[in-house]
Amino acid sequence: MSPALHADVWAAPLIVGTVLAVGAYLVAVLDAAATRVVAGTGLAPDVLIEPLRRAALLVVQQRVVTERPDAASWALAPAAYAGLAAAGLAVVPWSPSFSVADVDAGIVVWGTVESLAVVAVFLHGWSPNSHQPLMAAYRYVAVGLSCLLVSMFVLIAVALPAESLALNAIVDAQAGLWNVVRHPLGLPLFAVVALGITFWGPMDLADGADLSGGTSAEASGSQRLAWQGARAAMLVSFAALGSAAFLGGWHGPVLPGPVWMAAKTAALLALLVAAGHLVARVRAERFVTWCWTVLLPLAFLDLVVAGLGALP
Amino acid sequence: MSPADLPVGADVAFWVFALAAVATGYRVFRTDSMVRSAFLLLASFLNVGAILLLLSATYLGVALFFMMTVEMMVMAIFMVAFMMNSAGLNPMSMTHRSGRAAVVGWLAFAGGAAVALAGEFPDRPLPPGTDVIGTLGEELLGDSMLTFETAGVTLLATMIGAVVLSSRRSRFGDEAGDDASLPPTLDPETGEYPAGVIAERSGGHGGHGDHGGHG
Amino acid sequence: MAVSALHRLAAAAPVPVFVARGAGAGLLGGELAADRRLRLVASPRQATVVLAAGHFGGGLGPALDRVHDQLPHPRALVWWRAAGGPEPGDDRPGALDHPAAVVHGPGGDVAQVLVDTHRRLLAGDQATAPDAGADEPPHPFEGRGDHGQGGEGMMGGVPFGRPMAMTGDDRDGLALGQVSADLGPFLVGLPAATVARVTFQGEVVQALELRPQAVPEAPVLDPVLARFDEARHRPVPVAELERARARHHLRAVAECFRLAGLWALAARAASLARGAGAGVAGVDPAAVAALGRRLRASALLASWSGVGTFPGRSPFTGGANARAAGLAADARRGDPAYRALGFAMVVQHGGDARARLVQRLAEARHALELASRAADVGAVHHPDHPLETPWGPAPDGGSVALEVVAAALAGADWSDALATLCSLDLVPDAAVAPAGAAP
Repeated sequence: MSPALHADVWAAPLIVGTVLAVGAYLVAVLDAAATRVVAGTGLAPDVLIEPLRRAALLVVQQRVVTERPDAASWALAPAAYAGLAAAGLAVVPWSPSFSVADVDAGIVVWGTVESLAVVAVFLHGWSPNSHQPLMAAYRYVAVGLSCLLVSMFVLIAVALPAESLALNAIVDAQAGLWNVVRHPLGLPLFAVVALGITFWGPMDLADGADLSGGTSAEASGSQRLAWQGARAAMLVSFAALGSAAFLGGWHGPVLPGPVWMAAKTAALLALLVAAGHLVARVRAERFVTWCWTVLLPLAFLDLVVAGLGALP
Repeated sequence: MSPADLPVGADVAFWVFALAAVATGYRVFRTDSMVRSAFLLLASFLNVGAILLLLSATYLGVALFFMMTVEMMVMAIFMVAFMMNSAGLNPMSMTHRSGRAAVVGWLAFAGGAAVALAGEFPDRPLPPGTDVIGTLGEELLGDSMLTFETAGVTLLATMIGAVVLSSRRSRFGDEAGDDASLPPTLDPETGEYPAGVIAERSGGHGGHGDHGGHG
Repeated sequence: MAVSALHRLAAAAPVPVFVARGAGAGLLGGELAADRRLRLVASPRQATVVLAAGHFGGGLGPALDRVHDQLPHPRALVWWRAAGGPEPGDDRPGALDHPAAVVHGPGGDVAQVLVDTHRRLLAGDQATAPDAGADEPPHPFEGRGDHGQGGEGMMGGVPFGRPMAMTGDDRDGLALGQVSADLGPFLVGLPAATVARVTFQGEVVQALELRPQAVPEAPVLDPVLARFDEARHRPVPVAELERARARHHLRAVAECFRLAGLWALAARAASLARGAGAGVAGVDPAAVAALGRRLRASALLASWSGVGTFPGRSPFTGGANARAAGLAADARRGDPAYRALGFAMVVQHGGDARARLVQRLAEARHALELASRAADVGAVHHPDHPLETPWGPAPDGGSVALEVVAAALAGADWSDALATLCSLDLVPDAAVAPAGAAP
């Protein structure tokens, strides 16, 4: 670990928290705007305030408790999910000299974030002691674990050309050629993983309408606000990692590095959010089949391409 | 940096993680549901991983995190799926034959404690700038890369094979729907099944669309 | 001050509405998705207002009470009831005793009433609705032993009044734990006023029973149902019938979109349905075609292909479901008024959820085209001639026993089962008819 981590130990939570809060708000605005555009109900400036209104409503609403839930893990699940988003964002570098936590195994940290995120979502569905959330939790684990395998290969393929597990080195190695060009399968596969782990849009197998809102079917008021916020925060973290790992991170002409990172992250977010309104939810069974028979071999191929490219 | 220079925060953190690891480990057997049990065990492992991080073994600590997370998640799902009490929330006792288990547990504890007290541990902090992960990789894989790679690919193939076999459609290598979950006939001439096979299997398939649809 | 600012902000939020459709409501309420001041939500826990549409009696009464009590405070109920219909009987649910607002007849501005109710609720001008039922578990917790497991050994006893879920054989030949649950009757996708009693293994439906909650002689609220009822007894302009048909199919498509998580496209379909219902100017068939292009781009058709096919021949002998399976059956061919308009039938093949969705959208577009041609010549449907309702030839040609549907769904994933039911849009009359199947 570099000395920077210790120097920034008090500033770190503040920076990560601010980026995640602003990012989550951006996600909500993008989501509201995409809904209006696709629905044809007219884009108006009030999409900027709509997320705040909805959040305010959740704040003043009662938080209903079910019959004999596991209260501790129910309350803990959104906190854990948001914490994981923060941990993931912390290891992403914003410029050659600045990342909140410059960990030399950043990519492995992301493996941990993804797998613990699956646990957090499972607990959120399991703990209210209710049928539909529980079924959604099971279904999500099947999908989440399949995504994790793909994710491992994709992330290793990112680390190969840089010959390092540190995200800093990975971005550095993209100075000449971005990873999205170097091995073009990576980013689309990563986008599927990102949507899968954050159960967003076409991959919303955890909170889908077919199970009355899935793991959050029993969540109301502040519980729901925390969960929605955590989920948007995780999407932001994934977009930031995607920008660093595939879109060249801070590299870019004229503008300073952090601005490029922010712009790339926002663009990736817009893409992921729009997908949610244009593409229907996949069927869990078909997705898992697809994941094992198509995506996993593709991830292998991605690794081979990256490996061959990295040969001296 | 000698041990005396380490910030006092590291000592505090060590004791917090160590006690939390023991406490959650103890709770594994005192809780009332398989799911809680599995995740308490995970919490215990995570605390051990955090201690590894304190020892500057970043890679080992983080790898422990994600390996144990996936393992415990799969364990919880499998326990709940294959045992009674699907939801895992009906309370039940987590102990079996506690007498014998206590004896074995204390013996294991005594063994571990003996190693901790009698063993000699290195006292050499890392020189700054050491490539920890590279050194570790060299140490673990240096001469045996081929062995590890072979084992890794074999394991992955086994995993995929197990998933394929457990799927209704693909157990006998055909996309022909439910028919594919019947074993191939022993007598290709007559196409007859050995006695008992069909009756046995249709018992387990009572809920199928194909069967129910005729009713 | 801070609290009241928060409440003002919350009052301006899109109103989360949970729609509970009772008897005689058809697919009414789905069109509200087109209004951006409202959000139709999937779970009562997410709503501030529950919209009770139609007539609630029999098993629907307690169900409405339960859903009502699941809303977080502050909450309110708006009752949308048939104008001049009979008062509900003794089985009237407690939730309907003090509704925050009552809308009479399908023509009322329900969206505005919902928004006003939400605003009054958050401004404190409307008291939050108290529980309609008793706030106690259906069975007292009877946990005994160290962990409340209620018996000897690792498990035993019935601490929640239900036995511990045991394992059973599943479709893959594994022995997995089973859970039984009653879902509905207000779940998106389920037939109107029907409870699904399901035994699950994970997400797989091991056994399914569809139980209609009978409400005999419920007044009709849905204008589509009313229009086709009317056409059985007196002459009705073909243009109006076809607009009602288009409206119904578009609403059904909107339900499918909601189920698939395509909320924005659901709003678009709902807006078209509202346009079809508005009459005069109607709605441009080209807009329906544009929706069809969005549908194809959304991959929903690919996702639903092969879902919900019936083993062997399709059990449907008439209606859109039969035509989606390739059966050339349409009562409109026997009506001289339609023949004069040059009526040509729309047919798909496959008989899966995909074909049914495509069929519904195609029929909606076709019906709108027919309506404009019929309006030009003033075509009228006479009650002596055969009548094709959105569900099949009147009076009940499109109906299929719920048991047949339920049996075909055993072994499917729950979301596939729900997609099947949603795409089938089963006959509301059959679902609420006192067929002796109700408990």
